[in-house]
Order: sequence, then C-alpha cells, then structure tokens
Amino acid sequence: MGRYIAGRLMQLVPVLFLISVIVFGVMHALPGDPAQLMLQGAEGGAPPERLEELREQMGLNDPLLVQYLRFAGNALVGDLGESIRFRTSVTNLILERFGYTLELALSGLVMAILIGLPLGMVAAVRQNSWVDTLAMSVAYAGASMPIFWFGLVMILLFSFNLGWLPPAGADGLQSLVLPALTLGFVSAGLISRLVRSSMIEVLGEDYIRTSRAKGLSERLVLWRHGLKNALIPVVTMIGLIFGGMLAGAVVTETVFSRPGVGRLVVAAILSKDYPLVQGCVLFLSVVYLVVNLAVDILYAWLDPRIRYAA
Amino acid sequence: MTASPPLPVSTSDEEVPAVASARARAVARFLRNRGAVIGLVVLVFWCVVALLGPLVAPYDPTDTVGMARRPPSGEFWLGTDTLGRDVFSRVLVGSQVSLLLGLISVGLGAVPGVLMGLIAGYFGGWVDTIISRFVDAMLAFPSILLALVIIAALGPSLPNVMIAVGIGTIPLYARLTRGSVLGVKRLPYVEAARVLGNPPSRIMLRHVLANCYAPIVVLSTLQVGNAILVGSGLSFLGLGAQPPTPEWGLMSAEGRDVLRRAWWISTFPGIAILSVVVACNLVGDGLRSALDPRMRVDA
Amino acid sequence: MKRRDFALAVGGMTASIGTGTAWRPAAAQTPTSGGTLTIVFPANQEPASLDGHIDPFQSTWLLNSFVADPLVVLDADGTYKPALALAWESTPDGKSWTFRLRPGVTFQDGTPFNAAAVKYNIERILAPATSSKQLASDIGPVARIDLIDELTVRLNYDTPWVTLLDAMRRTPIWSPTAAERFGLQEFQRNLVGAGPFTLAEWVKNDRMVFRRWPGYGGWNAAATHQGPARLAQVTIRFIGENAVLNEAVRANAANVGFSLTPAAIEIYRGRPNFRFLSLGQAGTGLQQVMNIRRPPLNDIRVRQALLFARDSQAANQLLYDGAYIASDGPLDNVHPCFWPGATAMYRTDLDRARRLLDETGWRVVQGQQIRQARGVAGVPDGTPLRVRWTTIHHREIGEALQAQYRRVGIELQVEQVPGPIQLDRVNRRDFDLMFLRQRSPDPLILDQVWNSRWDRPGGWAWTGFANERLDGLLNQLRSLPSATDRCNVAREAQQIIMENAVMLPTLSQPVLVALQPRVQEFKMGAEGNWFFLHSTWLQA
Repeated sequence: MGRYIAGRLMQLVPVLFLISVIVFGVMHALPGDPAQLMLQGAEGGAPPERLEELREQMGLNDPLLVQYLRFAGNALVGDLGESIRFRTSVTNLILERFGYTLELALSGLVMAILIGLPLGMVAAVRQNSWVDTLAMSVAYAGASMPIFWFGLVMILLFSFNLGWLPPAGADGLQSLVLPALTLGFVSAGLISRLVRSSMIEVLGEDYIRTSRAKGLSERLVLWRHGLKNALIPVVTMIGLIFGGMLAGAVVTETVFSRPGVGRLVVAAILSKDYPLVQGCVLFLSVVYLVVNLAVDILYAWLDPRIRYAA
Repeated sequence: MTASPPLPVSTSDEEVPAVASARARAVARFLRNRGAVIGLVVLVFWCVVALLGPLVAPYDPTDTVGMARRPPSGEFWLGTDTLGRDVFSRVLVGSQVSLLLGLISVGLGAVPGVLMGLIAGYFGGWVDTIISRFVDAMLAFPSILLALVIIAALGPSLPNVMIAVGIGTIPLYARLTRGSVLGVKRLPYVEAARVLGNPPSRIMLRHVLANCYAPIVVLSTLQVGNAILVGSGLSFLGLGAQPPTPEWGLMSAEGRDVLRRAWWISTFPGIAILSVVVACNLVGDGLRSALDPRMRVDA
Repeated sequence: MKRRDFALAVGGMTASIGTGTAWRPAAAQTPTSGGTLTIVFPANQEPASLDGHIDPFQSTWLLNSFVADPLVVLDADGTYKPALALAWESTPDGKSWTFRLRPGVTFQDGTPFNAAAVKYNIERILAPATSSKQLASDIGPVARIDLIDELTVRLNYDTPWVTLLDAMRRTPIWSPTAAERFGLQEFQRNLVGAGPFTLAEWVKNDRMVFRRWPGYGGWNAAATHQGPARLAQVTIRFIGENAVLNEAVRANAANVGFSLTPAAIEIYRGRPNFRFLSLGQAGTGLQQVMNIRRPPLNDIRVRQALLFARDSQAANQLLYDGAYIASDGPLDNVHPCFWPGATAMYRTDLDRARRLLDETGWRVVQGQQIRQARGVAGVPDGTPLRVRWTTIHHREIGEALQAQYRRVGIELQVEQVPGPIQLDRVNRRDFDLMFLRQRSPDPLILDQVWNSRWDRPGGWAWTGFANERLDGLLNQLRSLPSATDRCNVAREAQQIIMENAVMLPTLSQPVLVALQPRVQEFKMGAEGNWFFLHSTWLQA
C-alpha cells in the first residue's frame, strides 16, 4: 500500500509541473502590464520612473525563465504572490474563502448522493415502469439544466415565495441548504443514472438470484448486495463528480452571493488581476489532484487488485 | 462536466429480428429505445429551426420592436425582453448560435484529440508515452479551470468560449481514441494494409479510424450538449457570449433580474437549453447502447 | 448647532416615490434602543480595502463613516455641518484652512482625539507609502500643517484649495495609535475611529458586522440624540445577484436595500408597506465622452449628429419606466451647477442629424441601412459609419440608442468591458465613445474631465479636446470660493463643451433605496450614495 501511494505521488510531479507551466505561460502571454494595472487609479497618472521602479520590484524585468522559477519556487512554499486589486497576499485571499467552497462542495456532494442514490435504485428496481421513466426524467433534467437558472428558481421558490430559507450569504447552516441543493441536484442526475445501470447489472447476477431463491426478503437482498455493489462505480466517479462540484461552485457561489474561491477567480478574471487568477487556478487544480489521489487510494485500499494493476 | 455512464438497454439480441448487417441491427436497437428516439426528434427539430430560424422569425432578434418586458401575447408569442426585443425571434435565431457553439466546440476538441489518440495508439513507443503523459496532465486539470484560464487570456467572447470548451475536451477524445486504436490495430486487415505498403496516415484514417468511430460519435453527441451547458454558465458569469448575441445562456442570464415579474425572458431560453441538452444526452446514451452496450465513455 | 428632525429631512434632490401610508413619521414614536439593522448592498460595492485613506470608492468611505466620524458632514440640504470639527474657516485667498475641533472626544481605543491626530491622518493620507488612490489628490498639496493648540489645526497650501471640505467630509479620522500599531496592511481589518460603531467582523464577499460602540458621544450633526447609537448592530450583506438584492427587503431578508437596480421600481413603487426612495446623484451623469482625435468623431458635424439623433427619454421609458433622471449636459440636470441651455441645444431632431451627416462625406448608399464613406479624409471609401460605444456598465443604454442611431444610418457598436480594460483603452486613446462618470455636487469634476492639462496618462481628460478659454475657466474652479461664482464659471464651461459637441449625455442614475417601515431615522445624505445611521432605530 505504501508503495502504491508513493508511486501515485511520484506521478503527480510531472502533472503539477505541467499545470504550473500552463498557468504561468498563459498568464504571461497576455497583453497588459501588471505594474501599470497596479498603479491605475492614481490621479494625474503614474510617473514613468514609479512604473519602472514597480516593474523592477515585481521582477517583471527578469527573463521569463527566471520569473517562472521564482513563481514555481514561491508556490512550492505556499506563496502565490500579491493580488493587484486587493494588494494583499493571494494565498491569504484564497485561504479566507476556501473553507466556504469546500463546505459547499462537500454538502453538494452529500446532497447529490442523497438525491441520486434513491432515485437510481428506485428506477432500477422498477425498471421500465412509469417510476423508472419519471426518475430518469428527473435525472436527465438535473444534468441538463443551466445551474444558475435552477438556483434562481430555488431562490424564487424557497426564499421569496415561501420565505423558508435565506436567499444569500454564508451565515450558518440555513444559508447552505439552497446552494447545496442546487449544486447537488445537477450531479444527482449523473449519480442516479450510474446507480441505476449498475444496480440493474447487479440485480441480474447469479448471487442475487440465488439469495432471492434462498428466500431472503426482497428488501434485504437489495440493501445488502445491490446497494453495496452499485456503490462501487459511484465511488470511482467521486473524483470526477468533485471536479463537477468545483465547476458548479463557481456559478453557485455567484447565484447565492456566497464567498468562495470560485467567485474570487471569476472576479479576478474580470478585473484582470492576473496573479490572483494564476494563484486560484493553481490552487484549485492542486485540490482537485489531491481529492482524486485520495479517492484512488481509498479505492485501492477497498479493492486490492487495483494496486497491482497500477 | 457531465459524465454519462452507460445506460442499460432493455433489448436483448434474441428479440431483434435477424438482420443482415451489424449496422442495421444497431439502427433497430436505437429505434427501439424510446428516449433516444424522442431525443433524436428534438435534435432534428432544433436543427431545422436553426436552418430556418432567421427566415421564419417574425422580428429582427437584435432590434427593439416593442415595449420592454411585455408578457407573451398574440403579437409577441414569447413576450419581449428587457430591451423590448422579441423573445420568440431571439430563441429561434439563438438556436443557430447555441448549436454552433456546441458543434464547433466539439470539433475543436474532437479533431486534435482524435488525431493525438490515433498517433499515440498507432505508433506506440515514445510517441505514445509523450502524448499519454500530456493527456494525463490535461485530464488532471478540471476542464472548467482550463476554460477559465483560456477565457482570462483571450477575453470573454463567443468564439473564445468555443475554443476554451473545445480545448478542455481534447484529452477525453485522445484517451478514448487511443484505447480503441490499440484494440483494432492488430486486426488482420490493418496488418494487411500495412503489408501492402499503404502510408501510415492512410492506414490510420481509412482503416483504423473507420473501425473505432463508434465511441467517438457517442462522446461527441454527449459533448454537444455539455458544451452548450458550459457555454451558458460562462455567459451567466459574464465570461461568455456578449450582448446582443442571442445565445440562449446569455438570454436566460439577462432576464434573471426580472425573473419574478417577467419570467418569460429567462424561462424560454432556459427551456430551449434544457431540451437540447437532454436530447443530446438521450441520443448519446441511445447510440452507445445501440452500437455496443458494453462501451464505456466517460464524457 | 440647530437640531433638526432628520428623519423627515429628505431634502434637495431627493424624491420619495411611493411613501406608503403605513409609514409614520418618527416624531410620533418613542425611539427604542437595540436590534440589528440589516442592509443589503450590491456585491460590486464591497471594498477591496476598508481603509478609505487608500481605497478610492464612495462605498468604502460610507462604511468607514460608521466607524469613524469625519471632521465635517454634508447634510441633506447640501450644507456642511459639524462632526469632529465644531467650526472651520478659510482665508479669502483659499490657501489656508483652520479647523476648531470638538473637545472631549476619544477614539474607540481610548486615545484622545486632538489636533495632532488630525495632522497624523492628513500626513498618513499624503504619504507616498500609503499610495492613496483618491483622497490624497482630493486633499491636495498641503504645504504645512500647523498645530495652533490642542484643539485647533490649520492646513496651509501654496495654491488656493477651495474644495477641501468636500474631501474632509469623506475622510475618516483614524486613531493614530491604532493606525501605527497595525500598519498599512493590517489596519483595514482593525479599524479604530471615533464613530458610533466598531467593525466586529468582515467575512469577505459576504458580510460586514458593525457593533455599537458604547463610548460614542454623538459627535456628529447627523445624530438627533445624545450618546451612543441606538442600533446594537448593523449587518451589511453584499449581494451579487440583482434579483436577490432587489427582493431582499420585500422578502424580509433585510431591513434596507441600498443601491437597488431599476427592476426594483416595480417591486416597491406604490406599495404601502415599504418606503422607496429615488435619489439623484449630482455629477456628470452617465456620459460618454468622445475621442475627437480620429474619424469619424474628428468631424464636429458627426458629433452633433450623434447628439441630435439620440432620444434619452425614450430610452429612459423603454429601459427604466422613466425612473432615471435626465442628464442633458456635462453636468446632470440635478447638479446645482447644471447649465439649462444644454437641454435646448440638442433636442432630438432626426432630420437635423441626417442633414449634418449629408454635409459630411458619410453618404446614404442605395440598399444599405448604414452610411458609407465617400471622400472622408483618412477613411477608405465604402467604410461604413461605425461608432464604438464602450462602457463598464449600463450597457443597455447603448443598446437602446443603437436602434435610434440606425435610423440616421449610424451603426453603434456597443461593448461592455471591465474597468481595467476601460483604463487600458483610455491609456491608448483607443475609443470613440467612452463611459466616464464622476459624482460630486462640486463643479470641480468638470476640471478633471475637461481641462486639457489632465490629458495625460492617469488623468481623466480623455477626449483630446483642448480649448484655451475652457481651460482658463476651469482653472478658476480651484480658487473661486463663492458657490455662485463657481456655478457661473461652470455653466460657461458647459456651454463651450456643448457647442463643440465633445460628449454625449444620456441619463443620470438615481440611487434607489427600499426600506421597511419599521426603520426609523434612516437619514440620507445630500447625495444618494450616502446615509447616516447615527440615530437610526427599529420599531418593535
């Protein structure tokens, strides 16, 4: 197991390198001088000597390779540079908000499973009946709806018309319900389709038939064997789903006015705050990598065959 | 990204009448899938609308033709938007924009992706190693982040959304194609073509690709819907199509401030998106089941 | 200082739409103490830094004013009233300002407020290390600060500086001790002033929480009562989604909705259960300035055609149900120094616009909606008459005008860009019509936008228009102390600007505020973007 983990960690190194090159490369291929962006807003304009001084100070006059090495070196020790708009450490800006994004993504994941699992199971058990059709319609709709639109409808319904839940903010569990539901519903569609198909597969297998024949109650069969086996493909997909959560979080945070890294990066793009964009993207991709690694390790631990195959 | 797991088919081969070719069997299987047929009908409908839209639209989709925020009526079937433009005309003409967004993004992802997969799978060796490592790294990068980085670099616009979404899917095609190529390249007729002295490019395109197109078609169908969905999200964030482009996502986003009082502005484009994306998913899943029920395509 | 009933003082440019019957004046009630007032703000008004000495935005100064009283305040009637300064005077030449400070004031950290504290604050703003983005230039080139005695301070300039009060009303006076202790980076999270509230919490992108400071002595003319604020807590929520922002008060998710969008008008207008205010913002209005350096706008006839072909009120009706405020010139119609001649000069006249364009080389071509160049200097024949409209918000105005301009054969290309892109374009002077808005009841904003000496990187004079007589008039704005004289000079300047047709006025955005009726003595300032919470209370 230790060797497997070490091996997977080693595989991360080139990936991380490539990501950092992509992010750095794209950000530096851009028009616009970060030093000038930083000085903008100063009445009467920034004198050229001040601009030059700042460029020097920001290291913008060094060769690109030197700049990359400095960026990568600093990033390794957790220093992602300074935001142009906020004039403060990018790392701090991200850390201030990451908790909210994580909270949203995790609760979204829980919602997705809470909705998707029963939906898929019911559809599988009542295969080809109207229940199946209905469940799958919901699943397809969830996966095919613009998430911002669904979120707004949720707000309209539960905040404005019924007054049950707050429409915005990140103040306590109550304000987490609607965003998590919105985010979760979209992935629930995916999960329910997964669960349905693997359940159908499992239900047709010999040992289930055998257990039924042995006279075990239908429900017990379903729970003990069906669910357990149906969950395996879901677990393998969790990493992918988490990536979807990250993507969905960008929009969900905006709709529900929640603080978060997703909203931060969108604002940074719109205000051309390149160091911040760079930092957020790098940070989020590392998070994504780590989650996927954790899922793989968990999976390998559950299913020893994987370790040797890898 | 929407991943689409294999949906089981309710058909079993015994029930399908014996037909001559595998293709005819696949068509028959597809046609027996109710969802897939519905999806196909919806897609065909939208394609027709996209072709005829500008001709049949009652008004200029970018012109102010009435008072703002008028509810649906005989004059304006789907009401008017915040600028007094006809929502019906915009939805019709918007089908062109949104379908093109889907198709071009898919093209931008599929063409380089398939080529990379073909080359990697066919040549193997160090070429394969390099391409595969690169593909792995790209897969390790949530595609939305890649899209955001590209938009940050190029600026928000409809063509840039196509590029951003397209590039994000290159590794999916590359991985899928490589896998298929590995499966067919040792087949006798490919070997035969090689022995006969055909150049690799010809072998790859004429013989190898022709025999592993099925999963690519499935993935592409699913991705058309996905691209439209991602594009609408980017429009919502202000990072996508720019007004007055009648892109459905943008239209839906533009009406959100008045969703309560003028629900039609946001809702009809939203339904249009929903219908196209559902249709793509249904057709994609249907194709997968029909072509090869065991096929795995992680879109 | 004469105390007034501020709850009713919605003076000057304020129009109250739909004040309902359920709302009763505060006078009939006994104010109660305690409770949390929740205000929703647009998310784009959340400051990047909460230190108004550094950050250049109105919302930052407004939020600062909860924590730190300034020396003076601008009352709803447009006059300056005492806060931490009891009295002030300037020498007739406008080069020296003396402030007599309020005795017995302490900062929230217990340190005393005095002349030295004022000196420290001014010096902190002006210090290059602070890199103040706006206040430093508003306070101007202070040559020397004299501490006359413990409670008297004098600012000396080498040139006349008559607009100092407009800067001082926005300048938070921080505790020097605290500012030193936390340093430039960290102070903005740890504000210490001498105001009614302290900053308790700031969750970025979500909310700010202010708590009543029990030591507050009502040191502000905006307070109608003695002692600490009545509200126990003020929560500001920053809302990114306009639909949510507009609905929050109606849905009882907030007591006050500040700076709502026009869609809110339909929600609150005429509803008896809410108070709904529409307040004018004196300033330039939502103007587009013209780049006259290059075709097609280097031709005055094209520029005049743009002015004649527009119908701002039609756009106002279409987009905002007429709720926006007219703006016909370089200063909007609610500005105290507005020049009324601007309204008459360019009334909508499509034929006139067409005739003007016919005189130029931009010709109507058979079968084409858009005119094309025929012998326009510097333009290849056959080029369509395209004018780019660049803005950072209110894109819809451009879109509404787009349809209007098509009628005279002009194609308006509307683009909305983020702020930094706008500045980038401006720096390269790469634009035709560029959004430029300044807000202030003082005519000095004309100097910033139209004096050709500010036609330099970072300056606001973007058009390339240089007129000696105009510059001469605008230069006087720095030194003329009398409000009447200043307005007269400003009006003359506006006439020159309009005669040369170098800007396109559209409309002026009102600040829309919705209040629940239980909110009492929520006092708006002279401008829509300012309010006072010193005596605000919540009815049970």
